[in-house]
Amino acid sequence: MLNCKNTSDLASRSLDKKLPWSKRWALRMHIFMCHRCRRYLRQLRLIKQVAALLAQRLDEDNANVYLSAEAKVRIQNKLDENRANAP
Amino acid sequence: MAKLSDPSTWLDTYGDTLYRHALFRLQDAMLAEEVVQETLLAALQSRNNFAGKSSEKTWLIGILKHKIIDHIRKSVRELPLDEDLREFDSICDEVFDGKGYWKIEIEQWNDPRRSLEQEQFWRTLENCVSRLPARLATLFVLREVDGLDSESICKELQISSTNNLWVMLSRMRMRLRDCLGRHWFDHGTV
Repeated sequence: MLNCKNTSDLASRSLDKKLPWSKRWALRMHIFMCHRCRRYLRQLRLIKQVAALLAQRLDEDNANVYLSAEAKVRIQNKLDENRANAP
Repeated sequence: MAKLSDPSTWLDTYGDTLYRHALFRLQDAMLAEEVVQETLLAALQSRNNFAGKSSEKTWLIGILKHKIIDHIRKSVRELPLDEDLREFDSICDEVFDGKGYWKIEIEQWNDPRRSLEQEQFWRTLENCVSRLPARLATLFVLREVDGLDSESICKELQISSTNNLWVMLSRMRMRLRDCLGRHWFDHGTV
């Protein structure tokens, strides 16, 4: 029988790849009897879905994170420098 | 065929978005700024290769991601992996007893969907990611956010076996779940 630590590793594994039949069965058996691991797996799945949404959010305008005016000037200067030096 | 807009407008139009992507992945403001600059330069130099298959923004973000991976590759070389693995395991001692059973409670997370609508939740999540050990934070970004395949991740993070990768993923997820639980869901917020 799996303990919770083994189960947590298997649960994580199951997010990336279909488990072989015997491991899948062992995981199900443990989760059937262990409410903590049952919740744990559910929460891991949620976090993975949320992470995928995070990528989309980075594209949206976010007033909290932006390049400062000084930073833009710095970058523009470097770009101009490079263009001046370009062949 | 789609044409690119005037490159002199890119910094104004896309600078903030590129910076946001870079900052999230690198967790370092100065480095993020540097990478934005490298990206715009590289884009300028390769603008004749733009085939118009994606939008201009997507194309620039693609270049940015490559630049970021270059930086990750350079920084990873300096970190010894063995010490990392031992550090990663420390969370297991905190949450499992001697026989490998949970010694903490795993609380139910009520109505998680509602959390997604709250700005503070996303900030908490980003905070939790930034608290991960550096290699695990990078792993989160490359795997969970960008969906990079196992082989590429092992190569970029210099992970010697896919077995080590699975262990690292498990530890990363355990820490994240723990952090989100303690700082968001377990308060009964929402």
